[in-house]
Amino acid sequence: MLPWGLVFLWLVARERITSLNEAGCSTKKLLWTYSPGKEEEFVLFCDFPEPRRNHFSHKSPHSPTPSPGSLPCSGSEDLTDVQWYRQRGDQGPVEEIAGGHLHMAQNKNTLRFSAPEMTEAGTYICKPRIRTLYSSRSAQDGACCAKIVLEVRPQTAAPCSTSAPHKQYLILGTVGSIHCPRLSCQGDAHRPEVTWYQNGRVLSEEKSNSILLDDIYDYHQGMYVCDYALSSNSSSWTARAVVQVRTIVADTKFKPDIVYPIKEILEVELGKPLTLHCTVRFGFQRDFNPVIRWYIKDTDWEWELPIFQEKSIKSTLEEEVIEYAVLLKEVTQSDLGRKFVCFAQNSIGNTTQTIRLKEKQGDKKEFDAFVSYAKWSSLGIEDPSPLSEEHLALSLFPEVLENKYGFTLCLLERDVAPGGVYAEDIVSIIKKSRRGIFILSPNYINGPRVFELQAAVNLALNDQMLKLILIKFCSFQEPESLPHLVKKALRVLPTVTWRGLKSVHPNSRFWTQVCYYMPVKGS
Amino acid sequence: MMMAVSVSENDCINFVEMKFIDNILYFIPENDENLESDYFGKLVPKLSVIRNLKNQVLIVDREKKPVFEDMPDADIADNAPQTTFNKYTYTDSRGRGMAIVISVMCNGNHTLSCEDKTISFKEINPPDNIVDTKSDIIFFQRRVPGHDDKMQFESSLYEGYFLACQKEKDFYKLILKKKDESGDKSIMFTVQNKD
Repeated sequence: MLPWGLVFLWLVARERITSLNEAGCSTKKLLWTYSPGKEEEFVLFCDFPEPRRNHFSHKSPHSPTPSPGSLPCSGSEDLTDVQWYRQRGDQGPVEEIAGGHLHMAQNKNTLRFSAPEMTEAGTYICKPRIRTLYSSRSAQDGACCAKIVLEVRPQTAAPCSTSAPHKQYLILGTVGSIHCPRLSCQGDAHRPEVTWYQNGRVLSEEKSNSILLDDIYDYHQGMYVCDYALSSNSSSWTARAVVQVRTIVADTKFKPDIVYPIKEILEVELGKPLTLHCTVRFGFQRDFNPVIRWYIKDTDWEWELPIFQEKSIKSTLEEEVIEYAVLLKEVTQSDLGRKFVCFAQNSIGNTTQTIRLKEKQGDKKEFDAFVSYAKWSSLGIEDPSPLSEEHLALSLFPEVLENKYGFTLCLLERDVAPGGVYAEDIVSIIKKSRRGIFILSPNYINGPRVFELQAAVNLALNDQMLKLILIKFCSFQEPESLPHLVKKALRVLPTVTWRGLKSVHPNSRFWTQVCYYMPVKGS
Repeated sequence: MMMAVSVSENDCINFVEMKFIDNILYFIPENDENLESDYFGKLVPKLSVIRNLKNQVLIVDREKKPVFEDMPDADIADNAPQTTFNKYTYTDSRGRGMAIVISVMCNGNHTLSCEDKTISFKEINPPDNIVDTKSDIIFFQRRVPGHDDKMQFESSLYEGYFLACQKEKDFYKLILKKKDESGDKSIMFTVQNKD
């Protein structure tokens, strides 16, 4: 088994060793001098030599030197898709560079290195990728290629104080410049010609160690590369540095803005927990140190509330909107007399917004819901079957809505003292309830209890706090004699359908739907 | 070992009633609840003078074509209505930015259109509502980042395509073009609104 395993491994090896005729490649020598410990990037471009037929093309001094016998691109290859190779040592094997490297990645034609310490010096070769029907393989001979000898060296001496960083910022709408790092270190005596690239394209008009921009726009943002020749006695080495340029807006001149709260009074419930939110808008600042705090202010003292949650709501080029929340575990009576202050600050200044708490007025209703249902005349049926509407009203509704969900129900038979006038009792109960629940069936709609529905519909017209829910216990036909308003109500009011056995269990969809129409607890 | 999970009826709550008819999902609004289709809604127009970055003024020429011309400020009012455009702002149900329609009253109402990626004037009045999220006459006016006085107009119909000024022989024409990512000032304009 072992030999087969080895063969298998060899076949799936990521880096395929190929033989490559790189004697015919145009060669370039690049030096990457990096500062240890700092974040720095490097790129290799795949610059094929220009086709020989174009004698009059302007050749930049830094385009790859064609070695004797180097093959130019014939012009028929697709130069937008290339394959990179790495050669270890001068005569070593050439490996295809595929994906999966942590610090080296191919982005279109460019090979990007994200960490200097982990980058391997050596020879890198690129060739156009030729796609055949079944696979993509580079042609071994005849195609053009470019070879780059890369040397990676840490900066031994300290960089001078005027060395430009590898991350530079340009302020939109103003004048600015992009500097080639390390080049500003050398005095005026040595000013080599610089080749600049922006996002992989040569900037042919830029030749000095700084690019001057007289009006900065967002399209100036990008990755810039500066190449210059090293004046060493031996063969022509090119030094390269990569600068990431970001366009930003100028720092804000304004203090932060408190967007919320706006009103000075907040309605709360005593004894309940309360989350206080403060939403603040900050203008852009390069050195951004936002501060948001909530304070409680009493007559003699004030103290800061500990943070509960802070999150960024909106983050754009020009501003940052942050929401800061604190939690009061329980609103007490003394909280109603205190001031709550949101404080926001940036380096320009600070603002505050003060709010006070006010107790929410309840709706003064006694019951969450009144349940109306048809009463079966006693035919000696002591224990109604589990699926009767009376059982639903007198047993199941209390079991689920009262015991499980904690609502307060009112049932005529259970909660109203006998002796009163029926009609008056009904009107009084409905007025004290937030919801009316009506269990509809042929019995109900044709019986005396339908009066309760009629009364409720009339009362609901004048009471915004009263809402009605219909329970379709089983099908029924509307009698013609029903008042017009009741007929309309039957069509328009929310209806939950009782589905017999399926709906009995407290976890059934029936109860979920009923609860949806019930009042929110605590309102 | 895998445990089968069954979705029971109890697990779902209908927030809005829905019906499937012929593979299309319909929403049934309850009591006129807040269900509205995507649309653009017309607001009040502003009279505007539009200039390119060379300070040339956008006008409608004799052949009803939009072109840019040098014009001193004093002459702009005299040459109205060809120089002053009605910029109608529309609310965008998707909140993508300031949606506008440009029209000019010159022997009838002419509204700027970018249909088929070509600029032309259609002899129509800007409608009160456009029931769609894309339209050949609607452009999104946005500020150039960092340059508060300069605007760009992106077509709502062709994403990435902007109103631009292009020189053609001796004329400077208003065209629709794809934004050049490496830097394109031809798509930038200044807009002067008359109160």
